[in-house]
Amino acid sequence: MQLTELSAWQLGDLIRKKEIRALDAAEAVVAEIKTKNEKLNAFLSYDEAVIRSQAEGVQEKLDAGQVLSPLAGVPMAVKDNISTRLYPTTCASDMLQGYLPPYDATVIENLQQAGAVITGKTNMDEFAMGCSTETSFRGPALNPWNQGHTPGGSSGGSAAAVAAGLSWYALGSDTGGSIRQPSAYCNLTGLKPSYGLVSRYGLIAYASSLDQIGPMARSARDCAAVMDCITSQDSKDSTSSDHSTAFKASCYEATTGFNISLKGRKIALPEQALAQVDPAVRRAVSETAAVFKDLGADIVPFDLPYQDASVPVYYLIACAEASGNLARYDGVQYGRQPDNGHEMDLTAFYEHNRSAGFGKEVKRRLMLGTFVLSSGYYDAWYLKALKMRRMIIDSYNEMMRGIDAVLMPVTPSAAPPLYQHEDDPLARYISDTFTVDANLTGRPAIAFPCGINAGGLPVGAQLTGHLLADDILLGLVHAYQTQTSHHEKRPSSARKGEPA
Amino acid sequence: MTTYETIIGLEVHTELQTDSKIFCSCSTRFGQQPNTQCCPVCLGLPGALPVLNRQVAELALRLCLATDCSITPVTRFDRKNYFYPDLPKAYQISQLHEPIGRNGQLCLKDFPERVVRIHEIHMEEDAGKLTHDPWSDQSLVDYNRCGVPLLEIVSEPDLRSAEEALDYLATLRKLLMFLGVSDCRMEQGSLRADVNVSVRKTGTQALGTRTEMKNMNSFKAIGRAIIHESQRQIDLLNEGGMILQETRRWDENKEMSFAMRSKENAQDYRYFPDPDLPPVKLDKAWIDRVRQNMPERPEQKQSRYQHEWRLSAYEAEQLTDEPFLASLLEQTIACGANPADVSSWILGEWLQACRSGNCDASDLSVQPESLAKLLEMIRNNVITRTTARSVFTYMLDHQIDPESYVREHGLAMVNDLDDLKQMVASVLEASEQSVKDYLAGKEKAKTYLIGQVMRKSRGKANPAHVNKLVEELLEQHRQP
Ligand SMILES: [Zn+2]
Repeated sequence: MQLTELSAWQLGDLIRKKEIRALDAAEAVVAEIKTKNEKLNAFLSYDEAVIRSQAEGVQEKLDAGQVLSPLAGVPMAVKDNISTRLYPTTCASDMLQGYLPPYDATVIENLQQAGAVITGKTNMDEFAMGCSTETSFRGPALNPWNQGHTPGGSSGGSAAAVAAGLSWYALGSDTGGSIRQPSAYCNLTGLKPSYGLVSRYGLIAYASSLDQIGPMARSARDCAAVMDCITSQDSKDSTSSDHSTAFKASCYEATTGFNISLKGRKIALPEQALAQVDPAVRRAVSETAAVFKDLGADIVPFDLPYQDASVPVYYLIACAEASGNLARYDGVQYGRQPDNGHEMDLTAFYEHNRSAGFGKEVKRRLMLGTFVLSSGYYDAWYLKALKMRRMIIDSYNEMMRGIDAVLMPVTPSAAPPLYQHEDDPLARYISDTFTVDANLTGRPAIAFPCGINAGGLPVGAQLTGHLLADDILLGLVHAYQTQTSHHEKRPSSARKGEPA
Repeated sequence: MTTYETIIGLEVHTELQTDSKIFCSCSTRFGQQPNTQCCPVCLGLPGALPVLNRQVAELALRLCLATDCSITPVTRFDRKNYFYPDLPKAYQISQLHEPIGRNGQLCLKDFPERVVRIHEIHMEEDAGKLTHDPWSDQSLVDYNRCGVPLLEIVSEPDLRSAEEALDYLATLRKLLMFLGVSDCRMEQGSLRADVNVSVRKTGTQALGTRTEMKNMNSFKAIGRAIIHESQRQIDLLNEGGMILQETRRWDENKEMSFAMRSKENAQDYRYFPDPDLPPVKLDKAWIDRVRQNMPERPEQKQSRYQHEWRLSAYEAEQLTDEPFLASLLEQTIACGANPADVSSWILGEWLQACRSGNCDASDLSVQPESLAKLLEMIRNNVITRTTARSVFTYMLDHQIDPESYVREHGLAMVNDLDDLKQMVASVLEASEQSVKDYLAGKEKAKTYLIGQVMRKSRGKANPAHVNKLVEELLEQHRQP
């Protein structure tokens, strides 16, 4: 039996039934990481000793008869913008090299309570700003399906790790598609939960009103099991929802039933979205709609509201918030200070530290955000974007009445080659067209595999649902995955022991 | 010659009297070791998030209600962005767009015709404290104060003189203290004021260009800074010059102000709503609850003291000068003491003890129960006021029960007429000259003789008896 080919819940099951020791799973994953990570660059940090001691700790509790969770003992990876005391947390930025948080994010506390074994921290775009991990201070992660291509981003390291068999599941964060797009590029199922369902305490902020932590795994069922572990109402996060307890009860149920019928469910398909994408993506998404129809769902037409406005509104708001969130990295507490810092006046000192510590894309977005908040521009740009956001939220509320979910592509195409749009930020931003609405509206959205294109690269579809109805989305995708096998496909490089 | 009118508006910052900080549970206690009252939230560590301390909103509501502000039904926090080493997030969480209260007012004490409009009251967090260490030539940051809750109270430019401005500050300070909103200790920085000053020709309506004065550390300095700045502006205008809108820093030692660098004047704070803090709904139920638990205001107390306890207007005003005196009065009366007795003791002996000990009224550790017992012993002729004073002095440094102390030390009043008669007789015998003086018509001699008797009894003799006996015996001397 190849342990690394099991799904997370299958492995958890074996560990719970004492057929496998937690340490065996840990050793298996350590061996894989050691062989493949150097090439894939999926992990920024991991520590064999720390992995083993966690596994032993969990095993002890299990042996003592403690009930932890269905995922107890299953090794998992964490995006490097989620604070952990076990590993440095750097956001893949020079600015935070060597920063070891003195506290754990709430999701980390929840995972540890559930018996998770945290293998390490995964590569990402610097401060989650990017869609390819190319902006990482430590260089990009590679797509296990084709190493000349990006795994996507910003949670690209998490996607590469899970797809390549270096982890059974991973946490990502999603501000404008950063969980869903890499999930699509790497043939994973990834959920951007409803805003507020998962605590943001300890997630290093990019854009506070858009950021959400969520699972990236090999199936909806795995995602549901992870959501069950990480969801909690958190008194340390004022934007945390009080719905988490109810949600935990229903989400696991949604993906454990058999004979799933979608009779009475309504799924909307915006034709205009399909018109804008690669033929392979169009075909895969259409076929997905057909599967849902076979399962009993009604497929109804839909118009994406304000489609041209979504991406600009997203970038205005995200960059504005980021300009505040990242202002603290000024060289006083974080980052490198120049040798002659004491000769500089304060402004020069800040300018030096921030120019040296941030990469190009981060600086671009911070300057944009600073600009739109500046006196004289606030009303014309930022305030207008907030108003547009309100209008987008209102029209989704209006148009999704009676509809359970909207089916869309995740991206217009499969994973592009690395550095394809390096000098054309606008071309990169526009590929967020289908993902940003979920963040702007706070709605949950799930990406899941729906085929492989002619070039051998995965294609993903996406369902957007109702606020705090994440369980419905997980249930829909689980139903789909009982009828299809796209999500079970692995890249050939994921085979055990083979160097990537 | 042209005469000018000075127009003044104040921005008062006051530190709230909460146990914990505005967005985390760290303590707000003053004077602790540097950087011992910090956590990921107030240190602005990456990923940490603020959660509003509801007590802050409640204290802010108290002040808003007491100043007749209209309460913003949904109040919001904004980020004020600027770089400074004492500000770990590089933004201060404050309120710009939807402050908790607006359009209030405050009546002055000594200028009863002047009603000062309050533009707004908003909540915000304090920054850390920077100190420059000359030995190592390094700047050190203490983050203990980061996140301590503040209220900013912004007045309209309704004040016309330094005296009015100081009256406004004193009235506001008293109100803040009585409401339990702030202890207003200026030396600890819990009350600070920036002053906006402009001048205009008497009789004109349009406001002149204003300057903002910062860095005044006492009421005195604020008064001086206003007088100085208005004169500076008038001189400048008389010379045909122009006032620049700028921030000026007051230097108390030089008694002068200096314009701050233009860079500091041209700050763009890029305020925007803080996405980490959802809007706070101030519903009617919450406001009603705050209204019901509102402490009595100083002027309410003052009139109650006059009507309920028959204290004079002067006494009532003195006793409501600070919350401690008022609460001492109320508690001592609650322990059974006579209001007039308590009032005169507090305004007399208590404050005298503070003056000679050079301390605040609240620094004396005498408990209301003990004070009540002491005063009751005087009223019931158990001890003389003289004895009471010395017992009180002893009580300042010792935890004692005044009744047992008086009993154990034999300090009770001597009322026995035979004993007293003997004492008086022996004093008269020893003071032949004074007796002669008295008989020659010098009334003063009698006071001296009474004093001698009191001294001989070590203050314990019943003064009324002594007075009577001295008179009697002196009269006997008159007839040989
Ligand atoms: Zn704190």
